Amino acid sequence: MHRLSRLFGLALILLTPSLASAGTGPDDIFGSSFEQPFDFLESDAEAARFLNQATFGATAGGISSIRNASLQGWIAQQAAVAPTLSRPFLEGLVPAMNAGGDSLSQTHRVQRWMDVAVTAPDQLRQRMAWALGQMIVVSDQDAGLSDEPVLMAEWNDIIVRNAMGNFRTLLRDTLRSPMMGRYLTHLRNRKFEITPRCYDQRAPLNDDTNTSTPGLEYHDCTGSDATNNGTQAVRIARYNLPSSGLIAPDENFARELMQLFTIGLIARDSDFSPLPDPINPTPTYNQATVTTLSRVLTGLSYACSGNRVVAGQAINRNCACTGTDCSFATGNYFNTPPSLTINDEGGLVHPDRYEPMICYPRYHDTGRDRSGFQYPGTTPTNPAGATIELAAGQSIPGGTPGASKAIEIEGAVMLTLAETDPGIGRNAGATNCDSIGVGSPLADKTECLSYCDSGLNAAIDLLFNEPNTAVMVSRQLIQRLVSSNPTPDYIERVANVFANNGSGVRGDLRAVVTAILMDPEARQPVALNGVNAGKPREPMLKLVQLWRSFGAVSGDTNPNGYRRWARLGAPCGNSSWPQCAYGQRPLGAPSVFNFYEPDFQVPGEIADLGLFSPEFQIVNESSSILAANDLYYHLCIGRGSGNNHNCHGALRSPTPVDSAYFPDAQLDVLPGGSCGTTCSASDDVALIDALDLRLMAGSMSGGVGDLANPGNLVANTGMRGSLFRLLRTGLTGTFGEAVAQNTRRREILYLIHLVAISPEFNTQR
Amino acid sequence: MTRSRSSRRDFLRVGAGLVACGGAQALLPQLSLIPTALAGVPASGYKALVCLYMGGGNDAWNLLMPGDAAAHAKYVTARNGIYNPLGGNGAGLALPHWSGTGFIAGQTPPMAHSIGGGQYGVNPSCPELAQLYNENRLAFLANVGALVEPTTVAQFNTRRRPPQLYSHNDQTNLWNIGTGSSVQTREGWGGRVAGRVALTNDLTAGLPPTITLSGQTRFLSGVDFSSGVPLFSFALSTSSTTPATSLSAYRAQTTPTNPPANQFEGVRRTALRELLNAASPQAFTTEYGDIVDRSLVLADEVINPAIVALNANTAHPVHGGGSTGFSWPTGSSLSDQLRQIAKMIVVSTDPSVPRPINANRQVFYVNVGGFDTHDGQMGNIDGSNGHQRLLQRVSQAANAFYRAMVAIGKQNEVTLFSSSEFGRTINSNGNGSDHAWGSVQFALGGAVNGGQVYGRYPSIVLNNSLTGSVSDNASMGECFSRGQFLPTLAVDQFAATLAQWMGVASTDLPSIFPNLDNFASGPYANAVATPTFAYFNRIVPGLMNGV
Repeated sequence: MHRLSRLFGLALILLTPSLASAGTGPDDIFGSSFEQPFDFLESDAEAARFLNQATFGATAGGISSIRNASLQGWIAQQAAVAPTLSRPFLEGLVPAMNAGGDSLSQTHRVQRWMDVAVTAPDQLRQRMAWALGQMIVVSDQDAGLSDEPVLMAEWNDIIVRNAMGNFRTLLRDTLRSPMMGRYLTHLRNRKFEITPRCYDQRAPLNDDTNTSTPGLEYHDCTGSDATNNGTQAVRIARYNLPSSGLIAPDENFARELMQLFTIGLIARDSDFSPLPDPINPTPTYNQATVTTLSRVLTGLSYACSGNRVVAGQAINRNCACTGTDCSFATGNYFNTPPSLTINDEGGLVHPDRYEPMICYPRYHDTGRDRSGFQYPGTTPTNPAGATIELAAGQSIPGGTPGASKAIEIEGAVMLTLAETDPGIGRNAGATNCDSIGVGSPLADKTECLSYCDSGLNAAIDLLFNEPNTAVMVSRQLIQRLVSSNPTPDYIERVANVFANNGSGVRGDLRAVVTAILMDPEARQPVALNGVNAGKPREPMLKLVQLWRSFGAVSGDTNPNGYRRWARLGAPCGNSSWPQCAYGQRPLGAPSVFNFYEPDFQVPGEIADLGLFSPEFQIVNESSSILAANDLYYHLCIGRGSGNNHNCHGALRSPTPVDSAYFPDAQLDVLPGGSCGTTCSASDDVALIDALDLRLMAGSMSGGVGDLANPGNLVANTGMRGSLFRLLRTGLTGTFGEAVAQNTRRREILYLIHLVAISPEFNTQR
Repeated sequence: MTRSRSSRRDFLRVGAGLVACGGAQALLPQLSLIPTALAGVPASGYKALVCLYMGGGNDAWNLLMPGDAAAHAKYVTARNGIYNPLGGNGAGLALPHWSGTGFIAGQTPPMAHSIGGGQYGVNPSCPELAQLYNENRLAFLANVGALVEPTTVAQFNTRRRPPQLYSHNDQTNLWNIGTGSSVQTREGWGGRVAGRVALTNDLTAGLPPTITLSGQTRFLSGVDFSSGVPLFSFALSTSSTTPATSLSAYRAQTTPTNPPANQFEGVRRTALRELLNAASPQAFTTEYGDIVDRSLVLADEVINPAIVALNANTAHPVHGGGSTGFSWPTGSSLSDQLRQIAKMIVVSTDPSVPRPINANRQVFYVNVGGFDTHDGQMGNIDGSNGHQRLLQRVSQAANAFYRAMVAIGKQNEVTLFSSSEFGRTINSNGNGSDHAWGSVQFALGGAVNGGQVYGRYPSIVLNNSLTGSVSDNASMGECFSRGQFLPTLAVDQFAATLAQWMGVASTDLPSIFPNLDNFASGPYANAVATPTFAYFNRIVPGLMNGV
């Protein structure tokens, strides 16, 4: 099915109210008449494959339980699990932490993320959130957010809460999030303004604010302007165009909202193919679109909710306003909600710092500047009592925005927001959205606030409803969960569900992830897909998968439930883990372009084949080995002696309390895992099979056909044959451990590591 | 299943085995397999290019500012006034004049450094760059950017122009590709140049001529021109001891700098090698194996032993100090990366190391981020952030690198140049600037005819147009309403100049830069139709010695 024509799309936007209000889809998306060929998994290997796509790693328990349930039933169960959140949890830690002399940091947040990824019951939601967080990026690598662990935790929670909800809601929450506001700098984004300059009729001051007309001195028309001092009426307002006060709205968020979060750069059919053709695709937007949208995205700043209590601690804030009046108490616009220190240690912040931003109409683009001056296109209306005088030789520049805001997509005007000025007609020139205050007439306040809110909503609706958004979001989610190179049909099937979940709801992410995971390309036997189907594993998720699949536990006995997983320090330093080892970090991408881009192609064979390989953007000669070393370190923690945490030693007693480790019992319980120093060839095959199942869903190459002769290269082939030979001929040999089983545990850990850094494991198929 | 990459991997291994009996020359028979007609001509001697990429879009209009008083006054006006938060202008993006009138005492930012006899000022946080300029070792290139063909404001909608202007990743690609026409091109100009003039990596101990300190970059993608084999770029870390990352717990007995803890490490290394050598039909699987495989070989057998020996030789001038008269800045990632490159240049050209690399041409890449200054651009001048702090790091690190090249006698053979995806808007968004187009870059080295600004430095006036309402010496450069300057010098020309210096023949330049002749001999290459263009030439005349 090809997408609707642009003309039809226009009509849809203008005539149809937002579909998003219908909310999340009903439970009966897949009625009895809807055939679901992959609803039941036929083998443990298929179960493991599914779980490695839909969760942070297959476990023995997970494999058996999902084989007793239908996939739809499992997804329904997952959707019903309450979201596991981070921000309230971390806030709860802070008072005791502060009392103990520590501040909350991003490290705590990252450890919490690891704990949730490995242990939380809402695995599908968390895995979806991890995928969405790589598409709509806010990063703690930003200087303005690195010291805000609670804010980053709330950003995590925003994505987690919406991960099985509606994409429209996620977009709204993104737009309103102070975290995004700080990351892409639309917090306190201000409209274009011409700051009036007031002529001081007294003796000129000795400054150079107006060098072009010596002898005349102009100053800001503010009450605190000492040169005016309220003793002289503003007689002449002068506009030094196009400088000194001509402030254009920040375009950062407007651009990335379109390029990365919604519609992308070029028009695409619902199967992702460029429109009208790959050679000359139609751009979705141009610089004018960015500029105009950036005008709409103005006027947002922190809400002001007064005194609050967080984690039992009072955090006061004097707002001098209540309810929607706070949007007119414009001093709040520039006021940053406070943080709280206890015992000189930090962590807690006033919730206004992370709760949704509100409109401040004074700074939202209404088509007029603060003095009531109107942009070109209509007769300028002058501020009361003032005369406009343009500096000699200057005119209003051609690039000055017009009174109305018309957003063009693919060359067609898709949204027009006319100017507003409630003062006109009632009390000409006396009020407008700039000069309006808490004491202004309610009708004026309502009009100004509504203008801002509805404009923002309309912009979000426009982008949400664009056909491109469905295909861009769908394709990236497939790339994160299943395949770097989904076929056009696969993308289209998912995009169609994004467009309509079967009940007329657009953007239902639960329906989208269901479509992704139950698609034939995700479920049918690997052999039926192309040889290059699948995806490179995300480097950091290799560690998470090992922890989860082999029953690692955090030894932390901290009574408040805070558990540490990674041991920071060796091999790559404290604050820089895990990005130093894996090139990845929970909500810590180097830029808004994520750790890697969806269209990245490794030069060489992959590019020659036209394949996309996003994850390879962070895999190179250095990073691949750093990751291998970190995997070894975290596999072996708690073993060995002294500061050497290596696998050729018994698990220490007591076990580590500040990191995760792999308990002996979790290794012993593996098939072929408890044979000590007397392991048979069958034991070794069983162990290889267990690792193959758990980690690689049975996709390991080769086979073992000659148990008696490991060196039989004809019978013992591929990766299985290699691993078998190594186990039989002494992968590690014996160090003469006092406890024979420790030899087997060491072999298991070494074997896990070898699989984890093997080429075949790197591809999730 | 046999694949070409497997044979490339075999090259590495064969090379490792043949060290004892004569090194590179023993591999020459491999070269003889290549038909003579296709063989490139490896350039003689040694030369290296270092690409210093400023990620995010450097606001270079505040790196090199107008110094003439009248021109500076326009710059101040267009940038919303001099940044002066205490004086009530926190939105202004302008820096004070390097001298003379118009300077308000007590302002937060210090004055710029005068260069070019006062015609230009260099950002006050970059005294090193100013010094290098005045020593004629550093040149600026004004208003350079991605173009398909020369364009003016009036022709913006009629001439071909680069796709996805103002987009970070797309414009980054165009800079890396060296052409303004397609973001899809997979090879970068650095890789293509190396593929033309560098010895193949089987002749350089397995080390490719393209080396990155900052991970993957399209800039270094290329194909060996003689053999058609894709060039991979080798990723180094900034570790001072082991720049090539070494795999622990799998160490071979034969690794002198990284000995194993017990004999079983070698057993596991053999096991790993078996897995890496296994051919797979799956492209991702093969790629990962290739990456790990060449890392193991090059790290433990070639690079680290050489660097460890160099580090032990503390008196070597590359380390600075002593009589060299320079020192490497500390606490600077960029400096650490350039220092690593300096060491690699030493060991790549030293025939006495155990596994000589004997490189003839190398192209390096380093990236320093943070230049997307939508917010807080002027703030924290003395702090850890803000644009001037970023420029300071660039200035100090680039200076140390050049001084190190002087110390090791390679300054005439190594050229460092800057790049960044785009310039930024001239006017302010309240406390920063947004994405724009043309910008200023620099080139640094003994082969650079420095002390000059090449190209046309425009009047910094908003909305400047030959035909519009503002025409302030517009033949020097036109821009849109927020001061997004249309480049008057193409990335292609800048890159082609450096490529020719590296040894690419002028006649071969269009094969690397397909649009190049649009700026030299194409239909727009005349001064009447396009008065704002700087040079109608394949290269920037005079920029590089001998080019």
